[in-house]
Amino acid sequence: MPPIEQFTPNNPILFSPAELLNPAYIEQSPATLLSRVSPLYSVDEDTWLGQLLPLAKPTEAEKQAISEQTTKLVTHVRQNDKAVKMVDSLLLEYSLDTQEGVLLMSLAEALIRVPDNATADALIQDKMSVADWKKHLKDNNGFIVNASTWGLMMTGRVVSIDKSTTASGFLDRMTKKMGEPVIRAAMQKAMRIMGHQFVLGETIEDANRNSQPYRKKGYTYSFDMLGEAAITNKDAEKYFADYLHAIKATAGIKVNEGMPKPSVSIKLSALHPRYEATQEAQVLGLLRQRCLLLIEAAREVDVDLSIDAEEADRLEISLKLFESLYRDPLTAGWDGLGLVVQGYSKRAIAIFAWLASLSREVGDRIPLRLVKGAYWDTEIKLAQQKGLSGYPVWTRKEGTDCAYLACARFLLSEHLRGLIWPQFATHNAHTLASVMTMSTHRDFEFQRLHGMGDALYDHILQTYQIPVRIYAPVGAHKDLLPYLVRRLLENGANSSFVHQLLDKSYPIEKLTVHPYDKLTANATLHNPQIPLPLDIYGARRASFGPNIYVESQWIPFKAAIDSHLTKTWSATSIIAGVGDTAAQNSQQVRAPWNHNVLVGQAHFAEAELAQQAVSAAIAGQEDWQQVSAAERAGILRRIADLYEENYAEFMALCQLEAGKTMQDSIDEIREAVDFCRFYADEAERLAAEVNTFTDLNGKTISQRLQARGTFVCISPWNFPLAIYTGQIVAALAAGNTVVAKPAEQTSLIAHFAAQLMYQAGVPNSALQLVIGGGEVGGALTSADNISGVIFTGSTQTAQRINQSLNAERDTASTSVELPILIAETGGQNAMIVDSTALPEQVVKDAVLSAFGSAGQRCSACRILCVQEDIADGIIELLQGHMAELVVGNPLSITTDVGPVIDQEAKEGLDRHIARMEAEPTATIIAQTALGAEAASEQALATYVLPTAIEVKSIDVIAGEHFGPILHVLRYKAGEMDNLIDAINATGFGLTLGIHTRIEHMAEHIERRAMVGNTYINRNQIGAVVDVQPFGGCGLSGTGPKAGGPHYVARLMRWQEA
Amino acid sequence: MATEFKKNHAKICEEWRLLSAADRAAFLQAASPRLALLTGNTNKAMRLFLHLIEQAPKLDEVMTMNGATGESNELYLDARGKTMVIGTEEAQALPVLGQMVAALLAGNEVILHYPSQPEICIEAVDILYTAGIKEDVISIANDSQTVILLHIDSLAQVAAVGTPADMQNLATELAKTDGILTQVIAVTDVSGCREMLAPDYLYRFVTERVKTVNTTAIGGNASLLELV
Repeated sequence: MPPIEQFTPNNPILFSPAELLNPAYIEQSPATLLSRVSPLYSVDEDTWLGQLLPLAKPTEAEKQAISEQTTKLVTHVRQNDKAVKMVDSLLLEYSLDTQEGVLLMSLAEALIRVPDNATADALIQDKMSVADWKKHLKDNNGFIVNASTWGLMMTGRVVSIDKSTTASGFLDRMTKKMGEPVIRAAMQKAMRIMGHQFVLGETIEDANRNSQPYRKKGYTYSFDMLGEAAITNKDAEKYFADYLHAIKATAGIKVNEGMPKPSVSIKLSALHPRYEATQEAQVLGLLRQRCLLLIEAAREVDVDLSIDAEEADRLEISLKLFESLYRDPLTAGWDGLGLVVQGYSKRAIAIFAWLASLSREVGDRIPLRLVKGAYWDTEIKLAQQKGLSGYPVWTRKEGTDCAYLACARFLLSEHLRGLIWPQFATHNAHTLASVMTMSTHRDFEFQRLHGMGDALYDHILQTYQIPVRIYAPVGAHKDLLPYLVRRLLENGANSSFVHQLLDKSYPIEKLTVHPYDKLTANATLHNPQIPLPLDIYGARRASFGPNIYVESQWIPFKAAIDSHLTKTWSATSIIAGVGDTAAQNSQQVRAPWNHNVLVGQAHFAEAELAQQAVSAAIAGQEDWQQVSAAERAGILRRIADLYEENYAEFMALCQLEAGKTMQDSIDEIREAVDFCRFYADEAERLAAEVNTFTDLNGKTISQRLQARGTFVCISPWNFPLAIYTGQIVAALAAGNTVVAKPAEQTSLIAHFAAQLMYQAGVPNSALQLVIGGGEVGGALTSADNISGVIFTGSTQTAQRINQSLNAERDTASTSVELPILIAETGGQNAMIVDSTALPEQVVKDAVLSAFGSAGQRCSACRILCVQEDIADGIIELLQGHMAELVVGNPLSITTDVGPVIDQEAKEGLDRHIARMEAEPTATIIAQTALGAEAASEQALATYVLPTAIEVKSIDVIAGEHFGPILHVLRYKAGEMDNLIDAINATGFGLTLGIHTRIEHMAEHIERRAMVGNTYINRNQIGAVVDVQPFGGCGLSGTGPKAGGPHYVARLMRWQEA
Repeated sequence: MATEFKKNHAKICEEWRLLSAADRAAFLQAASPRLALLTGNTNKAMRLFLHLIEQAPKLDEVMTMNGATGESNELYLDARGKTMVIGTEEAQALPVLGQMVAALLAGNEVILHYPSQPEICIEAVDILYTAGIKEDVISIANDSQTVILLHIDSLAQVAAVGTPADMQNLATELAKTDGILTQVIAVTDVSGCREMLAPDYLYRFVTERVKTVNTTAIGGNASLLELV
């Protein structure tokens, strides 16, 4: 059965939205209604939105009234000369669909945190030199009209501005001064001004003062210290203290009588570094405790609290936490604990129904803020990257708008009055008009962001007397501005209405079209331009990944895995379809995280069997080459399907035999599946290729690609399924026969996979499996008549294979061509970080790159190179973040880092750590402790503690250390080229990470560093087949890149047709 | 002093590598007629050289890979590095110079080792210098034995012309060297140069590189928002 059918709900829609308008619906128990939330996670958009639409659809009378009211609102705003100010004005002048708009925002996102002048200058130059700023300057105005919007006015002191200054003359002069301190100072001041526009105050006391004029007008407030999510406990404690202080200070902030009292919004990700569904005990433990303390403080001073909505993967755990807080005796009798729900979420309306039922049962009114959602493009991206069954959000803006209105209609229902207090957050005049029209009462409020929608909401307050709350960021610009700018950019779609509202040339009639009409005018409710995650490669289906953060997928998935955990497996060599059950050398396979757990038996072959395997493969060559490319491709696709059908068993094997964590195991299977489908496509593509050329004698020659013969595939234990499969199916796709020799540590996975390959149709003669150690591998690579070896593993082993492949061979047998060696070996991979990088992002990416898969990836980050100006801060974050890692049994969903593969690997890594401890130019700066449970089984396992070591130079590291060890190196801002030279000098060239906001710098590093795969502003692991073809150069391998367009072709030769 | 020389040498070779193949092709195109004269078969040589040079755009191609939104992924080709072009005792000048042109076109630093034809070597590099290619990029090493030269540090590849047996011997020797797995690009069809006319011949002289950029690092995903 395909995995989507196995692990996602077959019937995700367990109620009809129309039922919600019946008061009886919410009389059902909260538990029942909660169980209807998760299945909707990635429900089919057309089906579910189709069911929501009747709630969004206006009656004719409503439509008319909404249209008229929208027109009035827009007209009023446009007539108001003071309508355009603060953030609005920025968005109007520097629209986010222009290059300048984005560049200005990116400057704002980074400049404020850059401590050193040289880098700040480089950043300014990078951003200012590439866009057409002149078009924002108006020559018909003798002065710099837009200076007021982004603070360039003070540059008047830099390049003289007088009444005769023309815009282009101004910019020309400014460009010439680029790099001079005055420009830097001016830009930094400009960014501070921008910070003032986004942030109400740097302290809650400032916020109190700055909000006074608005409160006088009648506004109420919700204050938030929002910024980056905490990645260390220290950060979380700081945020907690900030929230606590804000709550106390908010108590003193008065609003006009009759207005709802001010509140404080809290972001749960700021209160705990592991606010994740997979860390439920921590969320319902320490995070809950922190929330209760805030609730207690808020109640004491009569300030409301509102829990913000964040990424879709955190939604379900946030509901669990909310219920736990809401039901706590501390909250009983208090109607101040609120929640934010995102209208773009497919689960939104089900959540509201549950909350209404919960309120009905408990009795305390819940303030509920309905927002459209600020992480839309992140959700789309993540769903695609993770190969999910669908999107958790709507794919059209008008889909979100309609869902929002459907939710609004439910929230405004008469039977919800008193149970919830709806808070509608929007800057869209049409949405405002819709809410006001749909409502039969005034028990609700509107919310807007600080700096946006002033004119619109001033009018609402004055004319309609509906309470309006301003959501206002409070805190240091340095902490908040980057975050706010990113949210604004991510939320660019929502800013478009602001732009259209204020742009007088934009026809009002277009702003009054109801989203229902817009949506239903499309051929489909979903957006066909955004393919489903599994369809992003067009005809080639992407591999599926269950979402372990979503209960409706996780529960069936886990149950399926558990059903295999008590099994044992057996692996034998398979020659010509016959298992080598007579092998004398039988090894017990034990789980690396607990040697008492027996996983199975591996029967190791003797060296003589290697020759039999090669002979059998060579004997099978002709038959396999006769099989058409289309048929070979079909077999490969069936392998992919069979792998996915056996997902759970592979998961169990990856965890038991290879010690892989849950997500690593999923990624492993997905990569293997992608290899099969991609190489199947390659087989067909290459079969159709014809090379026609005129030779040097003038003769026309026509050639086609043919198989080379027989390949020996030697695969590693760190990707026991993905690389093993990739090597084999690439060779098979090309028409070659294969002798596969998987790593001895992971024979069981290999054997199980081989059985599925045969089941899919790979002939017994085309694939021979040899189980065993190095001596068997040696016998295979020295065999005569093989066409080549595909190898992944250490550089040293690759060198031995090369010698074996090229020595002692019968020269006569190689009279046509030399055997091929495709080797993918190790890396001494660096991540370079300059002072423009976002520290939290750097540390998260570095930790994942270094310690994910217990550092047992060729691509893993081994050296984190940090510009010295920010090194102390980065190291502190790194220490804090590493302390949050869970090291232990990979069967547990909470585990981030599992064991290393075996005792030999552990001893080597521990030796390196000990050597570094004794080394005067190295210092251990962080080491993660073993989890309590794992610690009790430590003697039976092969754990290596994730360790960070600061070094004075790269040389001291001495080669690759294949495990969870990260070295940290400081470098000076002006010595980037020396650093690149030092990295190149290691001789390795596999992956490189770069974190910088300076595009020119990223480009410069990328071109100079001799590596195969460079990743900019992200982690450096997890290459995806045919997206990031993978492989290095120098000591890191020969190429061509696995999963790339030249790989299968290299296993073939051109022959005259 | 030696370090300074090494640094300068590396810098010049890097500049050659960082040129586009089209730019490198211009140098080689200028040199081709005179190089062809060295081979004894000008017509054939010109046909071969032009065939190679015409493929420069293939080397400059940047392939945009189709992946998840919010990320750009580009695959492109880059020089492998230090390349020794070896002409064995019986090797004719045409394929040897063809291998040299191919290696240079791909952006590699080339060491020419063709001890049986020292004059051709001198003339060939002189022609290339005249065409504007710097001395650090192309040099001759005929004074040492082949087997010793194979142990040069960081030798990325050997482009050799000779009999299959010669090639096997070279591969065997190379396998004994430390460090990187030096690739052998063998041409055994010494008169027809058939290997050099294959569509993937030039790919042997390059390494693939992938550049992945998280385009949403500062927030926002303009290309996606356009679709909404």
